[in-house]
Amino acid sequence: MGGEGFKEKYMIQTLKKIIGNEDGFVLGASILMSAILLLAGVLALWTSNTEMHVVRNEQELTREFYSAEGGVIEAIENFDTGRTQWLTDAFLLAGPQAAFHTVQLNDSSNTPVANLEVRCITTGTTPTALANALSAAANHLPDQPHIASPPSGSGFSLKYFEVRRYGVTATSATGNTQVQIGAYKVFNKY
Amino acid sequence: MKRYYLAALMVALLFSGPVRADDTEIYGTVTNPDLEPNVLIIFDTSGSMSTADVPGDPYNPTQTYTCGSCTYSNNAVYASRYNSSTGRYGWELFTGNVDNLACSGMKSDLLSQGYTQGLIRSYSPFSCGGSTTRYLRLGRYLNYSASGVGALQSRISVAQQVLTDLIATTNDVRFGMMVFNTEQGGRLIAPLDSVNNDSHRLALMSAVAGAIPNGWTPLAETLVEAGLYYAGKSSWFNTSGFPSGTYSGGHYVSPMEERCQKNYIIVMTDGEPTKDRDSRLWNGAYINDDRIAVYDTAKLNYPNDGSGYLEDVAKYLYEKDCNPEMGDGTTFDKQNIVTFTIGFKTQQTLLYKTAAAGGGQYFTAENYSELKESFTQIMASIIEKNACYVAPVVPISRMNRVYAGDKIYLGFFKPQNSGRWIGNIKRYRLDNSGKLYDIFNNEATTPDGLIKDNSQSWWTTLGFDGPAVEKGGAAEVLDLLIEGAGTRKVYTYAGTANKGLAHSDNAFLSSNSLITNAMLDIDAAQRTAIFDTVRSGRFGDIIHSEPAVVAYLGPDGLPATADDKTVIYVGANDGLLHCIDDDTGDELWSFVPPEHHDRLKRLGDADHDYFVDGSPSVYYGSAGQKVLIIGARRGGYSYTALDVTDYNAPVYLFGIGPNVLGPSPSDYERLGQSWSRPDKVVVATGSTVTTTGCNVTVTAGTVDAFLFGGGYDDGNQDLAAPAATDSVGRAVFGVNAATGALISGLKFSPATHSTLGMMHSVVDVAGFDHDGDGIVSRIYFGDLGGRVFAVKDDQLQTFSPCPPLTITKPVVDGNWTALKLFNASADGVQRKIMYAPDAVAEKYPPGVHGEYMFFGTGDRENPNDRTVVNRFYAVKNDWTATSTLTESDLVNVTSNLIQLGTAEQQQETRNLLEIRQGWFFELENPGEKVVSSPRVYGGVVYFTTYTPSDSSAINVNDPCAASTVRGVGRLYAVNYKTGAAVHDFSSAVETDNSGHTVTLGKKDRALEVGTAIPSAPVIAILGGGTRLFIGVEGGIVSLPVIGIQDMFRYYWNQVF
Repeated sequence: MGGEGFKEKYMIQTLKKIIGNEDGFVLGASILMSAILLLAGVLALWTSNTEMHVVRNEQELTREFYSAEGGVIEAIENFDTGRTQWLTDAFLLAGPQAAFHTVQLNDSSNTPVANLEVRCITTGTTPTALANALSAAANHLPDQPHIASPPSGSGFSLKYFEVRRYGVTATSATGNTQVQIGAYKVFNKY
Repeated sequence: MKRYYLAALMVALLFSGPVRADDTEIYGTVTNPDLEPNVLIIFDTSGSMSTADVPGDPYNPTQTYTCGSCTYSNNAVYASRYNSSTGRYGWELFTGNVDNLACSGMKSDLLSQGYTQGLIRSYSPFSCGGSTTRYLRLGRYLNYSASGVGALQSRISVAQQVLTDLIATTNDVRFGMMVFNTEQGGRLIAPLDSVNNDSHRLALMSAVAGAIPNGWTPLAETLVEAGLYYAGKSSWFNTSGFPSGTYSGGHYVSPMEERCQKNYIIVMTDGEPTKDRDSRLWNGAYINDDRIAVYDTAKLNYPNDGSGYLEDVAKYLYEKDCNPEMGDGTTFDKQNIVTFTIGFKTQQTLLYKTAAAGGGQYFTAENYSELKESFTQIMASIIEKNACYVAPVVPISRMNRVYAGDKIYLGFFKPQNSGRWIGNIKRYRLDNSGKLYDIFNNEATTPDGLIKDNSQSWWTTLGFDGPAVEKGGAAEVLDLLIEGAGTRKVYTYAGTANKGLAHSDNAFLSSNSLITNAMLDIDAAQRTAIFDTVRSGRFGDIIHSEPAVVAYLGPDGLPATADDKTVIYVGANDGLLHCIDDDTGDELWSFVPPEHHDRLKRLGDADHDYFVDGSPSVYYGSAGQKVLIIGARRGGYSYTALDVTDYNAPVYLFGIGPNVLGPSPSDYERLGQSWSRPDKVVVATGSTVTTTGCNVTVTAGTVDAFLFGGGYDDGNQDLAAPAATDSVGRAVFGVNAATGALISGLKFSPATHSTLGMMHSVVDVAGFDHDGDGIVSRIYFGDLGGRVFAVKDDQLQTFSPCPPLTITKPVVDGNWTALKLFNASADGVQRKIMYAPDAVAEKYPPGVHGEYMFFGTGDRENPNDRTVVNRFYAVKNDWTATSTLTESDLVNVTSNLIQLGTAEQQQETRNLLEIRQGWFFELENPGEKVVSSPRVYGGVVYFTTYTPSDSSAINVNDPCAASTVRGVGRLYAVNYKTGAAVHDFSSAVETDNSGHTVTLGKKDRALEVGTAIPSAPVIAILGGGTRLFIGVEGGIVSLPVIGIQDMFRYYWNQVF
C-alpha cells in the first residue's frame, strides 16, 4: 500500500518538476520566433517578388502599348517621309485591294520596337488577300469605301477634294500588344 | 510733251474703253513711254587681257576659210536650235543658200557680217515676219569661227575695238563702264548716262581706249561694287577716284531714274576669278543690310585667292530690290539688276551659272566677230519689250489618282493694238515644294513669281522664251509646223453621218465642198482667205479657257509607265480647240466647233473677238470612254462634245444649243452665252427599294452627267443698268455625258419652277456629293441677281417593312427639290454672283447633315466699276430654311471683332456666329470684286479678288504709271467659320479695341499677289506637301497653304 502512494507522489513531484522546469525555454522560443520570422520573411520576399513581377508586367505592357501606339502615330505623322514613309506613288498605284506596306521600327540602339502594317480600307476587302504579308488584325478592317467625300466638320471642300482611308496596325516587338487606327488623307479630287 | 502724251494714253485707257464691256478692258494696250535702260559694262582689265592670242581679223565675207573643222557650206544659212537629245544648242541647216532669203534685211546682215537675228519665216521664200525670232549664221562665218585665222592681237585690243564699235552704233541706251582695281574690287570709270548725249558717248569711248591690262580678276567684288553704285550705297572698295557727280555724301548717287526702268550689267572676262575673297562677300551688310551668301569653303576652291561668289552676287542683284528708296519693292516696283556674262577666250561654268542666277544669258567668244556678235545679241535682248503678258490659269496634271503631277501649264495672252490677240501655252516642271523649273532645270520664276527672262519652257527650241507670249511653248511648235513641211490637222464637223473628225468630210480645207460659203457666211472671193486665216494663224489668246490635261494609258495598260501619253486640250480665240502632245508640244489636231463657222470671218477684222473661250471638261466613262465638252463663253451660245477616247481619232459626239431645254422659247428657257465649265457629276435617275425582313435597302440608279448653268444674258447684263429680269440663261440643267440627252428630272428654270424666283441668268453651277456615296445629291448655284439656290435629291422617306415598325431614311432617286436659299441683293443693290459656291459638309443639331457654303459677289465684266460694295458670304444650310435668308440672318464680320474686339465683343461675336446662319464681310477696297470660286482647304477659305485702280489717283507725271493702271489682285485666306484672318499677310501693325497689338487682324485677311485679274487659287496636293498657285500678270504665285495637316485619325482600336 505505501509503495504505490509513494510512486504516485513521486510521479506528481516529478511532473511538477518537469512542468516547472524552465530550462530551454529561451531556446524553444527562439526557434519558434525564428521560424515565424523566417516565414514572415519568406512571405515578404514572395509578396515583393510578386509585386515586382506585377509592376514589371505593367511596365512591360505599358511600354509595349506605347511602342505600338507610337508606331501608329509615327505612321500618320510621317506617312510621306523618313523610315515610315508608306504613302508612295507605288502604294497609290497598286490599288486599294493590293496596296500594303510593312516596316519594322527600331529604337536609337537599333532594337526592334514595333512592326507596322498599312493597307487601304475599302469595301469588299478579302481578309486573306494579303494573309501572307500582313497579320490577321491588319487585314481585318472596316468595310468602307476607300475613297469618300471629306467628312462633316473636316473643313475640306466637297467639290475639290476627296479622302482616302487607310488602316494602320502596329504590333509591339514582342507581339504582345497591337493597336490599330483608321486614318484618312485628303487628296485633290480626280 | 511726255506728260501730255501719257495723260492722253491714260484717258484713252480709262474712259474710252471698248464698246462692249468685259474683263479684258483693264488690259488695254497702254505701255510705258520708252525709258532708256541702264547698261553697265564690267570690262576685264586683268593682266591676262594683254595676251595676244585672239585671231584679230574681223570676219571677211569675201574670204574662204579652210581648216579641219571648217565643214559648213559657205553660202548655206544655219539656225541655232536646241536639241533635246543632247541638251545643247547647235547650228542646224536653215536653207541651202543665202540667196534663197527674201527677207532682205537679214540677208544683208548675213552677207556683210555673217550673222543676224530677227523674225523670218522658215519656208520659201523665207520672207521677213512670222512670230519666231531666229538666230542665223552663214556657213562661211561658222567656218571663220572654226578656223581661228588672222593675225593674233591682244585680247584687250580686240575688246576695245568691239566696245568702241558698240558704243558708236548704239542709241537710246544709258551706258556706263567699270574696270577692275588691281586686286580689290573694281571702280567706275564712266557713269551711266545716255549715249544719245554725244559728249558722254565720246567720254565712254575714251574710257574704253584708256583701259590698261594690269592686275587680277576680282569678278565678284567688282559686281558687288556695281550693285552698290546702282543702289546709291557707300563704296566697299574705293575711297576716291569717282567720276564727277557719281559720289556724294559718302555714297554713290544712284543712276536709276525711274522705278520701272530696266537695269543691266554685262560682265566680260577672259579668266576665272582671282583675288576675289573679300570677307564681306559672305558676312557684309549689303544693299538691304543683309548678307549676299553664307560662307562656303567650296566656293573658295579657286586658285590665286579666287572665289565662286560671282553667282551669288548676281542672284542677289536679280532677286532683291536694289533700290529700296524707289517704289514699294513689290513685283513691278522692284528695282532689280539683270546680269549677262561673256566668256572671252574662256568657257566657264561659273559664268553660265552667274547669268542663269542673274536673269541674263551667257555667251562665249573666241575672236573679234564673235565678241561683237555677243554684245549685239545682248543689246537686242535688252531693247526687246515684253509689254504685257498674263498667266491667268494654272491647271495641274495628275496621273491616275496619285499626287498632283510634276508638270504645270500656263496659259498666256497678250493684247494687240488691233485684230487678233496672241496666246500660248507653256509647260514647266513642278517640284514637290512647289517651285517651277525650266527645261535646263533652272528655277523658272523669281521669288515674286515672275517668269524669268532667261528661262526656257518645255517644247521650246529656238532660245529663251521667258514670259514672252510670242516666244517658245506650244505657239513656237505650231509656228514651226505651219512654216514647215508638215501638214496641220484642222478639223470641223460638217454635219454628215461621218462623225470621225479625221474623215474627209470634216477636214477644214478650202477644197472641202461640204463646208459651204453659206455656212461660213462669206462669198466665194473670201473663201481661200478664211481657210488660210484659220489654218495658218498664230496661236490665239487663251483668256478664260483653262486647259484640260488628260492622261492616256499606254499599250501596257498600266498607269504611270513610260508608254503613257498626256495631251492637253485648250480653247483659244483663234476659233480652235487645240489638242497638244505633252511630250513635244506638237499640235496633234485642232477643231473648229460648228457654231463658229459663220463667225470665222471676224478673225480678219480689226477687233478682238472671242471664239472657243470656254474651259473644256472631260468625262471619264467606266469603260474607258473619254468625252470632252467645251463652251465658248462670250464666243457663242453652244457647247460641243467630242469623244476623245482615242486622242488620235476624235469623234464628234453632240452639240448643245440654245434650245436644249425645249423647242419653243415661249414655253422653255433659252440658253445664254455658254459660260459654264460643265461640271462632271453622277446623279440618280431612280431608285429600287429592297426589303429583307425588317431591313430596307434603297439602291439608286445613276447616270453620268454634265451639269450646266443657263448662260450669260449679254443682252441685259452688259447694260449699265440691267433690267430687273434677264430673258435668257435663267436655268440649270444636266445632260447625259455620253449622249447629250437632257436628264428630265434635272432641269430648273422659270418654265419648270415658276415659284422658285429664277429671275437672272446663271453662269456657273456646282454639284456636291455630301455623303460620299458617289452620287451628287446637292447642287448650289448663284445668279447674276445675287440669289443663291440650293437643290437636293436626298429627301427623307418613311418605309414600313414590318408594321408597326417604320424606317425613315434619305432616298436619292432623281427627284430634285429646290429652294432659294439666300439673297445678296436684298438691299436693292445688284450684286452679281459669277462663280459657283464651294461647300463643306457640316453636321448641324440635331444631327442633320448639311453644308457650309461659300461664295462672293462682283461683276467681272465691268472690272473698273467702283460703285458696288461687294461681299464674301458663308452661309449655313441645314435644309430647314422656310424663307430666303438675307444679310440680316448672318453676322457682319467686316470689322473682324473676333480678332480686333474687346473680350466682350469677341465673346458676343462667337455667340452670334453660333446662333446665326453664317457670316459675311464687305470688300472694302473701292470696286473690289470676287473673281473666282472659293476653295476650302483645312478649314480655310481661299479666294481671289480684283480691285481696279483709282483713275483719279493716277499721276500723269509718272512715266511708270501705266504699269499700275491694271489694278490689284489679292488672295484672301480666312477661317471658314468666322471669317477671321489665319495668316500674317500684312506687315501693318493692328491693335484691337482694347489697345493691344495683335498678330492677326483685319488686314491679314488678304495678300496682294500682283496686278490685273488673278486666276482662281489652285490648291495642289503634292508629294512634298500642299501648295497654292495663282496666275497673275507676268507669272505665277506659289504659296504654302495655311494648315498643312491632311492626314487624320478617325478611329482607334487596341486589338489586344
